[in-house]
Amino acid sequence: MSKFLAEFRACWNLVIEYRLQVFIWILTIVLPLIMLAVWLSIAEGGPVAGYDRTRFIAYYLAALIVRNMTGMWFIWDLESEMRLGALSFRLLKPMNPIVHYMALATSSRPIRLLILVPMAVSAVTWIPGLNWATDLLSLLLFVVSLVGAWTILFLMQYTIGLTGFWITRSLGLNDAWFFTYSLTSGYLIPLDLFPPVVRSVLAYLPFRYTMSFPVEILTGRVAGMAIFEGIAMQWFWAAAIYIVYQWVWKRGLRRYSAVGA
Amino acid sequence: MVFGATAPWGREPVRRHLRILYIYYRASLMTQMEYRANFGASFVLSLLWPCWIVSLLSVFFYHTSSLGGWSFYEAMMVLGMYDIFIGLQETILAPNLQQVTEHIQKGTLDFVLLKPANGQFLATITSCNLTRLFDVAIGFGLVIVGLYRLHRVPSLMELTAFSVMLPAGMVIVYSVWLLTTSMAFWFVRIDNFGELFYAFYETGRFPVTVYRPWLRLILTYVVPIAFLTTFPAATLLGRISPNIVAGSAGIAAVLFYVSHRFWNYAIRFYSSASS
Repeated sequence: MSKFLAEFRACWNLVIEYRLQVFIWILTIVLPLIMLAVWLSIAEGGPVAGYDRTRFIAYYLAALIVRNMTGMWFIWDLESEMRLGALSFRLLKPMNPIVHYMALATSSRPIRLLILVPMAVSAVTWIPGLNWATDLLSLLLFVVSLVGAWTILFLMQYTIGLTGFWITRSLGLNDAWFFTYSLTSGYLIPLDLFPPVVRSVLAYLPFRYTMSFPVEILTGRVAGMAIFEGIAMQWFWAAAIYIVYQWVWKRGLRRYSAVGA
Repeated sequence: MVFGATAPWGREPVRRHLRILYIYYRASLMTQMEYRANFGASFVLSLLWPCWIVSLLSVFFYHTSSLGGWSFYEAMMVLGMYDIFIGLQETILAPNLQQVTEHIQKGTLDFVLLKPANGQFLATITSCNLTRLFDVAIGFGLVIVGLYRLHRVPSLMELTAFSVMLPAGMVIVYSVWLLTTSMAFWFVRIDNFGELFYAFYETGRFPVTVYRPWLRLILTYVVPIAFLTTFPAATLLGRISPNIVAGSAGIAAVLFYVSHRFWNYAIRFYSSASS
């Protein structure tokens, strides 16, 4: 834990130095807003599968928050460290490199909150009928679900990054993964709006738990026991991906020391 | 003005620069061919993308029969145009953006400027990433499939108009991109401004008529994304006025001139690492 804190402080200092950059990063997350615009134009002719104007706004604003708090972008750093050999120096330290990347993937969140919280508060105040679940328990469960989503997404991206031990296109693999994630997690389209057959398939994939599930808590779409079941599912998936990560890491390291030393 | 100036020992600047471009591109291609597996992987990835985006479109059309007045296959043509422009940009613009920014950050742009050819030319269009041409091909594929399913054969006039709008769109992208890159001379860490441009760019996936009137105005006249995807697709569908075609050429010319002047102005603020 103290190692994590030290790494976090180092990454945090960088974030502070390039705070303008973080603001711009936040502005570049526009896809949910574009999807919102498209749905609003469709919803002009009447609600779409129970989603009216306000419900669409509530959904995509929530998606924007979840994306800002759980989106992972560290794979570009990981890829360049592997390619340029900086990873070798990290391996010399008495610390698993994953700790550094965990810190990197956390460091920009406080600044993002600084923008998101006022945005969320004004949305709740000014948009009538937004109906976000704003009681303390729901908000607490929302935060818990964000931690779960963060963990799944972090482990997924880190494991994809580690495939760089074998292939030169780990970034390309990440692109392919991102298409899949954005389409099947509820990031671009609320899962409710998929045809029933597709929806039942998507329920078995981990992606729902990385985006749709937290959004559903905030918009009040899930309640009661279903929330706890969802959180359990999040940790089930996190554990499953952790096992894959362990396997890839051990193999990759053996290969790396064989080739790179 | 530096651009187009004839060097004392070169009578034909255009031909000479084309030759230089050819040499640079050939070198890039040869480098990339060395990574054959990479080539194949790029191809597979380029194929994956339209599959996803078309399924996204199908979800919209599961609930509606028209998107801002465009049918499924018409909207698919707009997506195709988006793929074409993204592909072209990633092929011939993005690699340079990365390089110029790096040169400015490290103060090594001198090595480029010192070479006996136009500086803006050398700095901004000589590297390329040919693997992304797959995206361009797939974009054209989507456009053609759209036309085929709509049983539409564009007339010669429409094809001519289209062949004006495509390069004009490319010039527009290049100019906007040059404007943002020039800012790197003041704000050294510029990569982000480019990102902001991408953010606007995303709106081009869908027909511009989908958006609210105020946003539509911005996307037509301020950040002319509509001229890249919606209008060329509309041209092939035979629903565009000559004004728009002339407009796209005009905007391209003005933006090119402005961005070129801005680059020349900005470059005065360049501080080298060596002198």
